[in-house]
Amino acid sequence: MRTATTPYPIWAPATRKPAALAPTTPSRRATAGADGDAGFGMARSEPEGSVLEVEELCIELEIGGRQVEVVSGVSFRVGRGRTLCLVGESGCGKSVTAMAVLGLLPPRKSRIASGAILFEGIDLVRLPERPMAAIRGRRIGMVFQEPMTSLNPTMKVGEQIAEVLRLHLGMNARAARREAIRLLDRVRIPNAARRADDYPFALSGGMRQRVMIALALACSPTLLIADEPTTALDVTVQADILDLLRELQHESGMALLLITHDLGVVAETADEVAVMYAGRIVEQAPVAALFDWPEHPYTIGLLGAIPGLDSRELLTPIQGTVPQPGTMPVGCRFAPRCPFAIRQCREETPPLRPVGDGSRAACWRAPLDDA
Amino acid sequence: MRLLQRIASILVTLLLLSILVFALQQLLPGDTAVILAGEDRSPETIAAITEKYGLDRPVPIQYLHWIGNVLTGDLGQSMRLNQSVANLILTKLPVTIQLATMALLFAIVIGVSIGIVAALKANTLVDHFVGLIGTLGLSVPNFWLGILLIMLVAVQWQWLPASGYVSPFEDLGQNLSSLLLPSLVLGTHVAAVLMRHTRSAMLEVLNADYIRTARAKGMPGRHIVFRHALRNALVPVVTVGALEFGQLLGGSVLTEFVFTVPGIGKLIVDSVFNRDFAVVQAVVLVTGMFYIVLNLLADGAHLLLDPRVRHGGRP
Repeated sequence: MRTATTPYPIWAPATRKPAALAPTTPSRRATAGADGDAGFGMARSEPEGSVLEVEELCIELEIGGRQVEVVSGVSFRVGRGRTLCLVGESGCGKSVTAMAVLGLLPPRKSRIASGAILFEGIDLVRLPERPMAAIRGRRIGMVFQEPMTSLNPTMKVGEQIAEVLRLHLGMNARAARREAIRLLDRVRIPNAARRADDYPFALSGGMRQRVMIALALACSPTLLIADEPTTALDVTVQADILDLLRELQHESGMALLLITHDLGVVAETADEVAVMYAGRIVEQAPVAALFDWPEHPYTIGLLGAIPGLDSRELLTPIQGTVPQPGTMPVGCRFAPRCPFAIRQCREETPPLRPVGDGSRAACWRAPLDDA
Repeated sequence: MRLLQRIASILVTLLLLSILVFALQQLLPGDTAVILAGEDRSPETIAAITEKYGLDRPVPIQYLHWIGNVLTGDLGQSMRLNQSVANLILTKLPVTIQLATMALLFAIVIGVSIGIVAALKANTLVDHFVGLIGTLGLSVPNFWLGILLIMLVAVQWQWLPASGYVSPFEDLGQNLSSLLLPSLVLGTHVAAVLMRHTRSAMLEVLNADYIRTARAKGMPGRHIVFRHALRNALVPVVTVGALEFGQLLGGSVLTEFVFTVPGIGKLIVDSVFNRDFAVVQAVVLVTGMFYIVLNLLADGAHLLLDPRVRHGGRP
């Protein structure tokens, strides 16, 4: 009875409230939008500009109480809307490089010894923590290798995405949730509205990686760093995730720095490839050139170690083992394992220099046509 | 289904507990009736006690008789204090519960917050210092700390009363100040335990991949610590805290003695000295039940904190 007589007074404040809030909400969004536009504006003014430029980066880690250089003079650039694959074996320094770009190296146990990381013209190496945190998750997104453990087990996945939207874009709880569901839908999670209320343990590895991608893309970053995004997943799921990444990149025009040890992934996604060995980039080339005509003996060795469909041909492993950080050989670090090495290789460090076809290789013997 | 299992296991535990408590009486050397009679060993008294407790009947029958009484709220009669044991426990228990609660609150506030700081500053001077304090807190005997505090705070500085107890219904302020020192003493040990557990749990969680994710999202530090790390780290700490609370409820014997707080601990000591057997038996039974209930509550808290458990997944 009471509800029949009082529906209007109960309703009235509820309907008025959004109207009252209306002037503030759009204005907040407008500033967020202006922010984003400013970013894009800058981009348009320099069409050839790269989103990320890493210059002569040297990183030291504390290993067993000693400062050991694990990344030595690494340089690369990732253009707007382009994909750079950073390839190498585990321990070659590729993940450390990625963490350095995000400013997430462990503070007391590591140090950027020299070099610069220019992101949209800002040197992240010298950027204080506060503005760096404003870039993380907002303009640089990151997808990690381990989808099983990279999401907070005690928080609903929708909330984990909404949190980032509220932090960086100032959305209110309801708008953030709606956007989170839209993002989950966009990374092709079926039943997104229901899934948003799931905890990570209820999702499969592939689904969790989709959530991670949604999370990384929530604020439309200009750069996405994906560190071995498919390594922990089943082969069929791997292909789905790579497709998804490519599609999202195509839609948004973001740059992608993809870190992998899987040359199959490289062939499928990369525009440009940088091959790392023992903390250095040994070869950098457009993807087609790299696969057609690898210049550095290490790259040649890597390609020789891919199992082909025609399994009658034997895999050719690279002889020897990777040198440990701290005990790097003088000269070319690959020289001890290199069948083409000459005396110069063991004495002088080869610079990364052009060897034709847009490729650059750090090898005294390159190009190897006559070898 | 899991709830039913849980309830069944509690019932079995309670049954075993009651058998154990009852068996205590059988374990005493000599004739139970003589022991129960205490100093008055006239044959009439012994006969009356034998008659009253059915001590001439077979032991299982005696147990059934006893447990039947316990279940109907009759915990027997105190020989010394001439009142029903149930009544006695009901007057002492609230004191101990208040003391234990204050001690636990102190321990949570101090232990958890210092544990968080120690984890955030792991392997620095701060952390080592905190670790040292923690070891001290764990190893200092309660009675020694109690006497020290009485000497300093109560006698030297005269800030707080040295001993005694005032009911909260009489004067809440005096009640709190009378229980403050004993709760600090009791809480010190628990604080040290919680501190260590919080530190190690936080350290583990702070190294977890999802904390790295939160940092990659650009979350501010305090948000990461409180919203992402603490909730996950608290799961094991809650369990430890509940068990410590159970111990506080049953075992603050020395502290209650030093500060002459009329709680359960003092009651059981007095009863043991007076050979007031029915009281000892009942106190052991009641504190044992507390332990079981607190375990259940800890599981409940676990359920609240960890959705994996809530949804029947593996933790």
